[in-house]
Amino acid sequence: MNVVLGQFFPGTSVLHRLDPRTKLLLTLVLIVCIFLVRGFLGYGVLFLFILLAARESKVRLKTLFKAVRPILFIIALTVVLNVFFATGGTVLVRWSFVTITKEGLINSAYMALRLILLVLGTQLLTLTTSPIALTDGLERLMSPLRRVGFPAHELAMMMSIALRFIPTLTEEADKIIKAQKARGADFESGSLVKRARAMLPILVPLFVSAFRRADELALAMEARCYRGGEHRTRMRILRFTRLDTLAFGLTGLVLALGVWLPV
Amino acid sequence: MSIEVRNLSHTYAPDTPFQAVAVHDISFTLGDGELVGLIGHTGSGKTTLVQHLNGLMKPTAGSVLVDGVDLAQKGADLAAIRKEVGLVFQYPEYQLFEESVLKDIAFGPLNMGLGREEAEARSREAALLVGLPESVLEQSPFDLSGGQKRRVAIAGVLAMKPSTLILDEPAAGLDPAGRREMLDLLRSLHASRGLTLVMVSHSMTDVARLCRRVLVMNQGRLAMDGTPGEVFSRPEELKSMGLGLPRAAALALALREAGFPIPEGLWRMEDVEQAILDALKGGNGA
Repeated sequence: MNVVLGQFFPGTSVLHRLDPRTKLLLTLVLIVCIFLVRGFLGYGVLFLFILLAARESKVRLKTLFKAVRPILFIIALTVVLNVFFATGGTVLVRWSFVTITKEGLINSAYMALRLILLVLGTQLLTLTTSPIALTDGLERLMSPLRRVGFPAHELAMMMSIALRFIPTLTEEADKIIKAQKARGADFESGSLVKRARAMLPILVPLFVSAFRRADELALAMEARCYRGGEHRTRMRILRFTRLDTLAFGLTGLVLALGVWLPV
Repeated sequence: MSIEVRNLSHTYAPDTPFQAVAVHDISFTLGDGELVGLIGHTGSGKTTLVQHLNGLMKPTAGSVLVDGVDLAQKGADLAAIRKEVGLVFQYPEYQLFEESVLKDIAFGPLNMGLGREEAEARSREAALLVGLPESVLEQSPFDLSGGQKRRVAIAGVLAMKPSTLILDEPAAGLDPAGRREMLDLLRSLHASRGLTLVMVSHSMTDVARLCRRVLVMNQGRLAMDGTPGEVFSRPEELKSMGLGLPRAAALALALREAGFPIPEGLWRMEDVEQAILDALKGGNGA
């Protein structure tokens, strides 16, 4: 089974060494800018920027672009919808009820580019930031909201536990599937109802084991005196360095250029 | 029923940074009614190997033939093969899911297409065979003890009446009494039903107690294949693979090295006991 979720590639590049908060904030800004950019020139700048950042982080381009594959269908759908259903503008082709306009084509290209850039940007974040650093950063960024009763620490803890258990449960599911196959279970043939029912021998043991693990984990955490986020100190304290200042400056400049460039 | 493994190799996640060779160029044949121990250090590829024997995994190279049928071949009847080659996973108690013990055991027979009554009759028979009391059959499997759950899981495979039974670490996590009971159970299954039995283990003592042929795996390769006497006479090699000798053989070796006249090639507790008695008698007489 192949899960590309939070697939972190360890490294020592500038991107790896940046504070996770910096990377989170910059990714957020990048996402906003993706929607502010007005033309192909701007998209070109953003695209080039992401490629250069990926190159710096030594992440292979193949790995980076792997993230685009699962959303290819969505991209295709948006492109088709935009091409065929855009109204107004210069008509290029008119054939029965289908009209293709120049604006429609351009718009759909923008949509596709936006989606691709979105995925590439966030993929670069998760490839260069370990899940632990990521949740740490999120917790710190959300902590001001605690004053209005927002459970920042609990949310971050839940996230890291969930991420931590994805591979474990995948492995477990794989094992249970094989064990039931060895007992002659058939998951591939039959009607939809029959196949859904065939999932039962997998889901029941999987849930039982997830609850058992949750129970054990809760016990282990309590045995180590876990009492939630209050007064909790950290082994690794997040600190902004000059590198982060530089990253903010550089990214700010590039993004500003991208947004400023005309259509 | 014979299982023939020819130059079997399996690589996980090939052509990625996470590529790992789990099994490399393994060949052996399992004959009818054999009682085989498959032993190796953690991560030596035992589990990967046995999952090939009933077609759950496909070889990267080489082949597995069950009664001459290549399992990787298109159109090979895997359902029929899984009925013949029963595989009990490690910690099989975590695969139970039905409301009652009896229903859980009947899952395999029902999958084979048997009728309710026949499946139930087989399940009762299998439950009896693994020593489950009649009274637990209507209980939920989740209410049983760990050792009993494991028996239920083994019965679930036995109810399909396989001619070969492969068990992955059947004694793992059991207390000494549970271990002994499990080994006794396997021995009696082999004796009474003429099953071909393969026990995967990393405990030399368990293998020595039960098996007549030992396959030793090391880093994905088949390092040794022979009788317990042959395998246990190579303690240095076993040690380099992170494996020890069964307790009785280790004792015999230690005594021999200390200068006592204990013959080589002994590994059964009774034989070593006799040799020690003989040595003591000889010593007294001189």
